Amino acid sequence: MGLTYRRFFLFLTVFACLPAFGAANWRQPTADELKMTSDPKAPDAPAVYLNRDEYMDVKGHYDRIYARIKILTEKGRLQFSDVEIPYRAGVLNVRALEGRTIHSDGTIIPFTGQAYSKELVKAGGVRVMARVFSMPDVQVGSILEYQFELQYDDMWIFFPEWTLQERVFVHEAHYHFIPYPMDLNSSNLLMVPDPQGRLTPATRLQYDAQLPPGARFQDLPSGTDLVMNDVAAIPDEPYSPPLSSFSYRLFYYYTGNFSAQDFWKGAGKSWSQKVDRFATQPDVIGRAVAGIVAPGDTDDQKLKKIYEAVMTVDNTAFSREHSEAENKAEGLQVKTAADIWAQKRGTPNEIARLFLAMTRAAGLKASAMIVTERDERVLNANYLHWEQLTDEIAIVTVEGKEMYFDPGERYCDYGKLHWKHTQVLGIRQTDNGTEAVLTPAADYKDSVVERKATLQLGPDGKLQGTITLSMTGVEALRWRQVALRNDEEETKKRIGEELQTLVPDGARVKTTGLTGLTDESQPLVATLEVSGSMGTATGKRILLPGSFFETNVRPLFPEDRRENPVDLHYPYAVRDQVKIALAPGLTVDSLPTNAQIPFPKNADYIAKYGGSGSVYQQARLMALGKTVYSKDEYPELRDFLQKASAQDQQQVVLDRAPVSASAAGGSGTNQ
Amino acid sequence: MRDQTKERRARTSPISGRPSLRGARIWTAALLMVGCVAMAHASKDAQLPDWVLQAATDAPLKADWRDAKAVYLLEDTLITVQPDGRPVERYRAVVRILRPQGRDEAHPVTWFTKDEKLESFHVWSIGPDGHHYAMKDSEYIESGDVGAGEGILYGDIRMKVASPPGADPGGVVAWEYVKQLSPYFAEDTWGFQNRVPTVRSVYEIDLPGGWHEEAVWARHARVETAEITPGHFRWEQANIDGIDLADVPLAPDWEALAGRMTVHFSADPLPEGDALWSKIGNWYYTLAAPRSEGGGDVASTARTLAGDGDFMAKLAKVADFMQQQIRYVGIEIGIGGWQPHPAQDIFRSRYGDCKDKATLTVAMLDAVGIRGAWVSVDDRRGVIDPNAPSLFGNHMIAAIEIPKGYENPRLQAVVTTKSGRRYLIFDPTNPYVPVGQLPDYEQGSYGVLAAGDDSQLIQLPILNPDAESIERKAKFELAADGTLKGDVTVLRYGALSDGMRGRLAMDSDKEQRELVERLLQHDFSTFTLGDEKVAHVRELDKPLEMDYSVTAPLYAKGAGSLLLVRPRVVGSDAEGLDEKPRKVPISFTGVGTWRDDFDVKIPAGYTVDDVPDPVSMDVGFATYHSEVKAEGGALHYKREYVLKKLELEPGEYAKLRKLEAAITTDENSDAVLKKQ
Repeated sequence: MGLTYRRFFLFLTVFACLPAFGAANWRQPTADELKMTSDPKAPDAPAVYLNRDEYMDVKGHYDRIYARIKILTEKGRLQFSDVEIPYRAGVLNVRALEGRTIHSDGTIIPFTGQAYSKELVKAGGVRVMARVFSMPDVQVGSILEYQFELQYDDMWIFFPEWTLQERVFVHEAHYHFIPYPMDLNSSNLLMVPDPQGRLTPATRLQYDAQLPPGARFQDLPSGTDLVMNDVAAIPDEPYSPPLSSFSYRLFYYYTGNFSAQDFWKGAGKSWSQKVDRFATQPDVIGRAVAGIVAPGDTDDQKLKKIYEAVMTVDNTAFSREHSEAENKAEGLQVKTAADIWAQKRGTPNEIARLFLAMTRAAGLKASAMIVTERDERVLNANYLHWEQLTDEIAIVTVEGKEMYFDPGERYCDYGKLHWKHTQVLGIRQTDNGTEAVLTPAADYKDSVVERKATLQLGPDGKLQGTITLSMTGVEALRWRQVALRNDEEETKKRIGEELQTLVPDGARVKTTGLTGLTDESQPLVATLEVSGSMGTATGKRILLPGSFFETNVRPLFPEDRRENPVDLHYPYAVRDQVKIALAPGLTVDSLPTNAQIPFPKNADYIAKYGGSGSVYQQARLMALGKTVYSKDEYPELRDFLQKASAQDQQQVVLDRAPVSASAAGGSGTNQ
Repeated sequence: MRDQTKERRARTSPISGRPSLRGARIWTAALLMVGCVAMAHASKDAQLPDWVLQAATDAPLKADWRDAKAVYLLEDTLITVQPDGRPVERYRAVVRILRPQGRDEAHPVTWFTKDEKLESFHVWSIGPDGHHYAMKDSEYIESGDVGAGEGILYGDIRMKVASPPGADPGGVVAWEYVKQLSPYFAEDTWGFQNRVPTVRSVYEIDLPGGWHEEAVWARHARVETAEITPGHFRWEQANIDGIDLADVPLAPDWEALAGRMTVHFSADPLPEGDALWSKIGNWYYTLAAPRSEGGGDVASTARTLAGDGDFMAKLAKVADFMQQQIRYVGIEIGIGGWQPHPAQDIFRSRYGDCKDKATLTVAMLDAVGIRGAWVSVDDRRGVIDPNAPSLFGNHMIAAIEIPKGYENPRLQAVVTTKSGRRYLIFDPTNPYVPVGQLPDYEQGSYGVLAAGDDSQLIQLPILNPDAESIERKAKFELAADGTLKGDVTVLRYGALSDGMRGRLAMDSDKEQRELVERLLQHDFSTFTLGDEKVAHVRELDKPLEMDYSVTAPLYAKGAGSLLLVRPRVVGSDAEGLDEKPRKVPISFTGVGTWRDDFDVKIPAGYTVDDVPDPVSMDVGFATYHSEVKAEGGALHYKREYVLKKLELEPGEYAKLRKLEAAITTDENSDAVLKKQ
């Protein structure tokens, strides 16, 4: 094999999307398979894998993939008839490609067409290609069967990262892995990084497995072997937790001679040292801090001033990332936090480390922490890959209490985390090294939206007035970051457009002012002008939407069934106050009944309506405290949201004094 | 199908259209930039070409452009036609970024294929601070498989993109490429209008001695040709406004509005007008016709399928085979972007793209004695301009000659050519619009009939609104607690059933149910869907039928002794419009008729105290009639909306707004029930 040039290449396998195999000979379909028109084990499936096999032989330098797929619907025909095999040119070859289509009457149509090699992307000396082919004469009811090998040369070592769930149900799957022999006496050593990033001989094959019930996983003399039956498809529902962290998988990797505990401890230490090295240069940073804080400041005052100063640094995640060469042309370098401060520009993690350096220079105790993004991934401690952790945050002790900061999220509130960094497991610096901890949860009081409308309704249904939209927390951060990627005018326009989708048909809103866009210590306040019309007329009455801000909003979950938990991302509260002055001749006849919809410990909804004579008023509160709901809790959540929405559709009845037909309008007041 | 960006727009696109997937076809240049860090070789000493420096220091911008996010300071194209007829293009662009979101406009990009060889690609930039940068070849990203759209298995288009340094507000990005153009097209298009304003745009073509040129203009008045030297022609325009349709409701396709010039070139004298259209049609006919010579399998299958019926019966059988049995798969290499695969190959593999499907249609019909031809169209109405003969288009369909004197009510999408021949226009790529009718996105468009001596420009028909309709019928019962319960039937006829058939055909039973639930979400806050059934999804000769029962608690709202009930229970025909001054024409998806007929039985103990006023409007291009009656203990809601035109001039926007306001009001109006 001649691995004299020892090299280790981590190939993040893209074959999870591929149908795949193991045997060289075709399998004869059974009569039941041929006549199958739907699958009782997967009643709504567009197709099912009858077999999906993969045989990876690292010693032999190939990966053999086989798939047998039953097409059950037109959608299945569309999804599975074309096959694309991505590979890296110069590293992998696709060979021994064969296929056939078997119709439900048993007719066999062999694949005799051409497979094409197309370039997907070429950059930085890497060329990613795909071998593509289309199965012949695919009909609903057909069985598609194909196999191929991915062959790679002696310079490369691969190991499988198998996501075991597919887009559709799998009846039988067989995975077999023949690993690279880790013989320390051999001249061909496989080298892997140790927790500190130094190359060390691989001594162990590790795996992270999340297997479906009934899976048969065993170590055989020929390698490791996994056989599974009846593997459910990956569910796809909105507001699901990150399914990549919860789906069935089998990830192999080689490691040196260390335990999981040693790995996280060692890798944490290495990361911590890098952070501390970056956050050094006490003189430069110290001088910068001295220019920011005043001698008599309390710790909290110092911290606020430093945070405010760090928030002014151009965060390239929201503008444009600059290359090393570009920085060099500008005479800049990025080696320490002092460089970030000098150039007033950095990536989110560089800015987080700058904050860390400055708080330390101000004499405060500060630690770094690195976390995942909750909407993307959950840290899996059994999978020894540091790269799961991506985002750095800071923990500062103020008056004996630890506070969490998210300086890499420009304009994130002081002492708060972006919601995707809340309630996530990560690694933090401690006095004795590092340890895994959970970040704090957000509180609904941290993200409050207050919407106030002061309106006048004319006798002809014309509407005018103003809206004040005040936001803190998540919503304020969202709009501030929109403004970073665009500009204030565009942000105003988008705020107006978003609010336009909420207000009653006929009403028009336009943003006229926006304050607090660059000051996260203040609420973000938008003022909007209201025009247009509102309400509908009958012969004797005018009917107005009872909830100005929610009348066009529909509940999140129309589906009565749910397979996954629900993650609503962050807690929040929305408070509305609406006051409508009615034109002479219009009086409030009847109001919706005040309502409180209980959802104890999870959420609260209150709607109150008032009015006397020529004024209508409404107050509404929607507060969501709990954000993650199990499948069993879904009906209750859905019921709460639907009841709240129904309440928001209540109408106010106005009496109107007789007016001329032209004033009332032939089709109502909403002209 | 391959679609457009600025640069691609100026070229002739391959024909591989799949109109039902229009929304999915987006060039992803911007996406490819994500994660691609500018790796620029940056130097204060980088030498920038004079044309970049000159453009970057030109006069201030027009005051009208103060809201622009970016501006093209210069676009400069030079086409040099070699003596063998092969054109070579040199393109230059200079863009200034004005606002943060203007970065998206400053992505240097070029496309090339097996037959369009890229000879050079250079990118320069000037940062807002004045630094000059020049990028290296190794810093560009090359990508294939872009813009190919769903269903294109293989296309040979590749692109090169760059993410230059200094691309921030105030910065300037410039690029230049030289490439050979396709050898098989004797035309080139100058797309001088962009989504953002353009300060100066220049186009030149240099022809071999004795060659001829013919320039035609779309969406723009003719600009005089300047012959700088013999055979070297030049056109220039300045201060061209951008066309931004991002927030414009019912806007035509951008390409249908943007000005462009197509220049034809040839060693032989060039015809004009209709004769030039005919030449284009003939060119395609000679390319495609040999591919329609089907072998024995094609002919025998066609004859077996067609049987002994009359013209329509035979046609219907072949059309059904094409629509249901031939899968959409595109494989485009070089001229294969235009030339179909042989009919025999398409038949054997049972797949092909739009031009393949049209070709197999022609071949199979030929086997049963029916003459067919090709029609090159664009599924974006208005893009093909009758005043500007060119190969512009992105889709291929079929024209089927109707025997003299033959009549059949199913033949609706019929065109009569100048020769007096009648053709039925048929799109075999669309599996959900029955033969005899035409998808709405093709109606009213122009197309080039490629039919030998009958080749010419034709306008595709606009079908009668009665042929395309949606009917909703329902009977509900309202309880005193506000709960509404009832059964609904929705029938969709003709091309108006296209989209829904397409979705339902792909959906499992569960997904079909979820689709109905999502539709009902617009009408009810809280509801439970009972039984639901969908019928005739693929039986195109029958209306698509959707039946369901629904229970909606709290549907009627209590207000003291009153119950407020919306008689228009399900479905909406209203269109969201804005109040901005209308500058561009109004483009509807399709003509049609929408009818609702709902009965709501009111609860015992209640009487109808008040109902919404009837609505009756006739605005010429549409009529709308709606009425609520209280009879026999029930509310009866009936309405009919007929849209007769596909496009309106901007001046009719006020009329449309008034109509839409009336429809919106009618849809939201409540009847008032009073407790006795």
